[in-house]
Amino acid sequence: MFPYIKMRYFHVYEVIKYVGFHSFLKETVYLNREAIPVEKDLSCLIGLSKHKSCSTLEVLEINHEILRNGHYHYRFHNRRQKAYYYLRSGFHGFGIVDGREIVGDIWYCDPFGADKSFVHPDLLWLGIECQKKQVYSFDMFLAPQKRGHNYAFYLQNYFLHHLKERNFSKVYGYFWADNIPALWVHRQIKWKELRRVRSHRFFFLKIH
Amino acid sequence: MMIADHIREFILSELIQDKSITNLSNDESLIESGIIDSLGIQKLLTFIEDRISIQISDEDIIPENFETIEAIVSFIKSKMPRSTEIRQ
Repeated sequence: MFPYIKMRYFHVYEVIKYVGFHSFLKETVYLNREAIPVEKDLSCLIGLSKHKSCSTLEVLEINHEILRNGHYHYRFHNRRQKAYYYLRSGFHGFGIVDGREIVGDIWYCDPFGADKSFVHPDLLWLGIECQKKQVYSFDMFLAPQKRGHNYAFYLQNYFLHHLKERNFSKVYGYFWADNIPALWVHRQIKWKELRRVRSHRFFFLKIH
Repeated sequence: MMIADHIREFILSELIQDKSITNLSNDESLIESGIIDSLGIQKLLTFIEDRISIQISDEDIIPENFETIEAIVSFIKSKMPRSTEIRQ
């Protein structure tokens, strides 16, 4: 329980500090917000070309060793806390690295994987049922200072190619209809959009 | 000034970081070249909605509508009432 509270504390603190209180409120208090669940068939991916603005970036799999050995570090403390929490929950993640700094990441859970990751709670309210060789991706993040250079597109596309290499057949996920940058990246990559779901939230109380 | 010129001027001044680029043709790909990325699309939509009184829904935000200046102009025209003017 304590790691979860610590993770939440740093999340709230850093969102307010770096993005602002208004953004924090927008993410935690809403009524009738529309989520768009999506799926991507990994047999039809778009090419893995690296735009020149991403030439210095690398994508790597995040594991306990990478976090502990100090060679790479997270720009934000809350993302580091989340990474530990997600790894402990049996989830898997990829980070986008600029030099030695992890400036963004994306995570997935494999309900049928050998490590028996938790069933992600999003699957229930989104109405998604993963079959074998299908995974759910979630919580893609990019440091605010790094947004706007095609990094998000590169990270997500690389991530999908990597899942294909691991013989997964389909990936599910979702984005908020009012989150234009996320919507744009998903539509560029041609995710198939599923039936929309409305959601309400008052801080930690979520109603779907 | 035509709609295409307004869009071009905005893209050149606000979305292109390489300031050696001083012109853009109407059929140049804005997505493949990385000019319109996830943050760029947000700025462009705000610009269009501020300058032209049209409502853009999330269903409109597809790469086909923003691939080139030509595509953006034709998308804007399809959403514009005939009497609409562009604010300077």
